[in-house]
Amino acid sequence: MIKKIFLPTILFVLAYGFWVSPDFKEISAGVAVFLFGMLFLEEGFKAFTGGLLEKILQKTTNKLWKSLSFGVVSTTLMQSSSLVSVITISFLSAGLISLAAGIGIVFGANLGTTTGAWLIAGFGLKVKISAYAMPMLVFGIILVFQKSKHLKGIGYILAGLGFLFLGIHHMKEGFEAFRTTIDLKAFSVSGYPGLFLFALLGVAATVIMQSSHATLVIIITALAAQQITYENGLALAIGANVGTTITAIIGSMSSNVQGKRLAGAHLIFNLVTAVIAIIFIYQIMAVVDIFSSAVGIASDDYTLKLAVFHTIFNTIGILAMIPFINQLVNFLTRTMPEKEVSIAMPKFLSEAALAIPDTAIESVRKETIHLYDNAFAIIAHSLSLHRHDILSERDVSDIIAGTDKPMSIDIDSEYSRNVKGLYGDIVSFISRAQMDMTSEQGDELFELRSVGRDIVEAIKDTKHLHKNLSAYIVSDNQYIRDEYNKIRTNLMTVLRSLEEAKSGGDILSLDNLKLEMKQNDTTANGMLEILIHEDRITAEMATSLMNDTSYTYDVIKHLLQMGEVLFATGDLSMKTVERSLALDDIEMQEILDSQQDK
Amino acid sequence: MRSPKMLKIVKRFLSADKEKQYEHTKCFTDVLKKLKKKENALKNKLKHENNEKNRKQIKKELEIVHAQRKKGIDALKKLKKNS
Repeated sequence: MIKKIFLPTILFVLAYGFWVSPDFKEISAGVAVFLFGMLFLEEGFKAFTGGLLEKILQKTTNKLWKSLSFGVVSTTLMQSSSLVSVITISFLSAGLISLAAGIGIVFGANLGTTTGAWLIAGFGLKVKISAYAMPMLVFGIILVFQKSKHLKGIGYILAGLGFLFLGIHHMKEGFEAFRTTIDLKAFSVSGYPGLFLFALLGVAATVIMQSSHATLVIIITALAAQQITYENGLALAIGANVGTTITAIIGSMSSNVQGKRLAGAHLIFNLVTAVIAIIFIYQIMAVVDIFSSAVGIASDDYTLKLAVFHTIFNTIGILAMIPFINQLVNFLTRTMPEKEVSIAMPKFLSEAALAIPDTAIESVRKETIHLYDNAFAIIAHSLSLHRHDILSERDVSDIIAGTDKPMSIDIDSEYSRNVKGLYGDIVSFISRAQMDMTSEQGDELFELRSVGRDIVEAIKDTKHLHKNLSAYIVSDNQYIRDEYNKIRTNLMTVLRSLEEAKSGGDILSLDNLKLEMKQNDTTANGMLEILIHEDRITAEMATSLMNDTSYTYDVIKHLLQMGEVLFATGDLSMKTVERSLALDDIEMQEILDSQQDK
Repeated sequence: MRSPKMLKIVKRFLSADKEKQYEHTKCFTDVLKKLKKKENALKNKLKHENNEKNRKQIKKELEIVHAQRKKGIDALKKLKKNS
């Protein structure tokens, strides 16, 4: 109900304001142009997020000082803590960074965002900013129409900055003109009541505009036009700092619990910083005065002094919270526990992960590994093997000899419960993720979808061989028992090798298995002929063994195909190159032939 | 930075296709380095292995790594020729 009346109310109030005051119209248009510039900036930086950002994020967030620095630098460059928050939540949801690293980035982003105030106060108000805006807009829009993704990105950034500057110019002009009609300073409130009131106003303005930068521009331009007092301006800035957490909170609603924890950390940090700033505001103002006189800022240059205040109180917040990051992580993990979900539920597919193609792909990869883990259990039990035995260091033949009793398993039921639904969720996620991707990214998703199919086919083939295998591993006929134990040995070796490839990321090592499989295929039928010829096994056993050897071959083929795609690590280019070096059937045969010649 | 090198970087940056080729070339070089390291490790292992069965296995792995490296080198040559 509130949502339905909110937008019409805002539009009505604005329309009334435009009708009553042309100066208000100019200020509002300035804000709108500024926000439009922020959208262009975000679009521009997205062009550089594919692969590069993931590499940087993963390398620069393994230590606190690195994640802090990343937050500061990325926010300074992109001039948007919201974009950095959205990217961080997306990476956190996809499991690419830890919660502690995400918190470090958010702390750093809070400091990085203070450069905005410096830019506006130090540059935006001191020069004829529209003179810079116009050429930026022209060159920017020309570049936006280029084919190259990077040129387009630079175009969006240039045009975004141009709109930002143009917005500041109109707000400046608007407030200057406003001074002649209304003196907003008459509504100023001093002391702590004023601090709380204007802090709340700052929160409200930032929540509505979803941009602390926009609020800061309004504060600074209003301060420059002496429409608000210095003290009230500081309170508005403190409020804007709290209000900016709304973007992270909204972003986390579509993320998993990790994203929600990060939004919680963001809110706690900004609230604590705001409380410290309000309690010690007069002391911080004194520090600002000392710093300002030391660096040559005039005592009546309230806009620059506001920028100094903004930087100092955020720095104090970071220094106050850094020693408690681990406690914060523990608190958030305790108050927002991971919901117990069945292994059939997706763990990594969230709306937040869809925000960036790289995180969407990584989410699909991780979820498909989850699917494989569920399938692994089904395949292992179908072979009458325990998962922990396969993953252990014990000798394969010892394990086979020690597990000579068939395990009871309803494969259809296990498949329906733990695989089918999850596979469907992955396929559905992939179709949604494919909307905004390059052709290489789309190809990668297609490969991952095929992996899901390979896993399902492997389970189906295992089901076919399960019945005979369970019967013949306890047969009185030693020869048939041995042959089916060979099948178990082969499959167990494959599963083990796949686990090694999974943990080591060395998919090319799977070619060893491919060669062995090809070799066994050629010799297996030779053994079968001997067994039939020498009447070691019955005709019925022989046909079962032939069929089941074929199913085994298919299971291994599907699992190896799966492994080559799923366990490749690195960026898209690296994965494509590694897969291209895997040997095909003809190359395998050449190696086999050369071995036979020797 | 010297002008030709800088010009090369700028040219690469401005041309999306060229940049992709450069990325692929770099990836091939990195993977080939890893395979060379693996090959050397296997050769070293073979030198110290006395068990005949294990020696046979290591020789098979060496043949595979060698075949993969040859495939990679041929692909890299083609890429460099086209760029």
